[in-house]
Amino acid sequence: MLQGKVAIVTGAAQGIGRAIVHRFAAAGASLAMCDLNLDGLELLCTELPAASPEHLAYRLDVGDEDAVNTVVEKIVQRFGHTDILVNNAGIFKRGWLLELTESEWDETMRVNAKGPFLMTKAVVKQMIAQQQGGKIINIGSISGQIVQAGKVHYAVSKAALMHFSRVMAVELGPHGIQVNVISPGPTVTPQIAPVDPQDYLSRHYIPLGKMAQPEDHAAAALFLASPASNHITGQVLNVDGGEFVTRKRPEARFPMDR
Amino acid sequence: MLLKDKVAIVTGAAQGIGQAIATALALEGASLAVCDRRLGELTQALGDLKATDQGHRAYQVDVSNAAQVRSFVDKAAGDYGRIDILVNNAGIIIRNAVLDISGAEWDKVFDVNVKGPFLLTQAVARHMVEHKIAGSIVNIASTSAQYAQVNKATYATTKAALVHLTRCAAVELAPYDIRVNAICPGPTLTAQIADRVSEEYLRGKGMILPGVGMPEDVARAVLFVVSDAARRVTGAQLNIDSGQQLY
Repeated sequence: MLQGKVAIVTGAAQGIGRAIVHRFAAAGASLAMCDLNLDGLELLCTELPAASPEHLAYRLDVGDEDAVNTVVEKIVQRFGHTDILVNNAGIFKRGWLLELTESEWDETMRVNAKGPFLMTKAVVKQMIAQQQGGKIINIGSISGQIVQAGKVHYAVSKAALMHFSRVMAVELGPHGIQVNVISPGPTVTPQIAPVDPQDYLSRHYIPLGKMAQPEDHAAAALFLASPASNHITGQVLNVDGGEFVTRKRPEARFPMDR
Repeated sequence: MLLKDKVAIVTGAAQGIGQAIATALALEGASLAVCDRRLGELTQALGDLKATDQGHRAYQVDVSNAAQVRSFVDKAAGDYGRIDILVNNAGIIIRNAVLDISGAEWDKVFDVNVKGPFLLTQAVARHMVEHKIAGSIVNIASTSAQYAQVNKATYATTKAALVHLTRCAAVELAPYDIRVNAICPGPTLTAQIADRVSEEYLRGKGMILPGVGMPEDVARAVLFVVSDAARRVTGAQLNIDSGQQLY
């Protein structure tokens, strides 16, 4: 489905990013994988089908403007073009409004909001020059839409990313570039590995009956990266098992345990 | 007098919507701790409020500077003994296509429009919690937070972030009886844009009510959400856009 396409995936070394890499590679894309964790990327490279499309790993801090520009330039030189960008890199830490430090706030906004901006800016320059359109997929979060206490900086950064995506859809539409968001609900990833799915399910109502796996988001990303979604832009696709379409809350979430 | 004996902080109060909000709060009896980056213009704006003198004070503050915010809130709390109301109004806009926005511009708009309200909310809420004050915090966002327009990527993104900050803060501060709401003005005919933007131009933007939005219209909405009339309202966003969003 993605034969001949070059896809850049940030935060590719683990969790949702890693699942997206696997899925895109299986669909025939060449992957330019970015992450702070280069060892993790190289390990991932060895897991990918060894067949023809080339896959390369780049060490990258997405919040660093110079590094972003350098890496995107390298990718374009090496692959000749770029067709898909997945802004997946993000950080998550708990933090309460009354206790958050300035540096915790800054770091979360830098990686989760400014990072996708810098990546988008660098990559769309190339996409516009190619005159073939392009697909940008931003990984938001249900936390950017609803409110849960104890993660204000993360939630605000994701809300920013999601609205940035809408503005980009409007601004880049004339170039044939689509910008959409996948909004994952609670997902079994290394980031939240300490959460026991059974325990989560006993306290929360998910209509489809289970927590998301990274592969669920990868499948949605493949749809948004493929021609099947050619007339879709500026949209947020929730992948949450239906958890947040309802207001039914078997366990009162508030006041929350700290 | 809706706000007798109340102390209110208004940021970005030297002109425009902030000045109108300060005036409206003062006319209802509040004592003001107004701040702005420009002390000269702020002092002048404050001079216009002399008739309502409840002992208003002006402070020079860059809301994106954590140290300045902390010392401002400490000073205002010391000067008045209490803070009941915070209006996060200070904001900036840089119009640019995404391809032209620099990383530094992105940071600058985020620092003033999002980090500033975060820093002030945190500092003022800590004061309110410590002194058991059932306070009210109002964030002046924008209808740009709700839909996308070209050349406003940073501004619109910051305002969406501010609206979500409003909701998150509302949930976390509710147990302390502190309310947090957002006001989203649509196009507003401030003195600052009156010389280059006509009423007719603004009307062409799809507002369905007759006339155009004025700073005083936003101020009236702020007055409502900080007053007891809205004491069951928190985490809300109220559009003051002459119905533009419906069109």
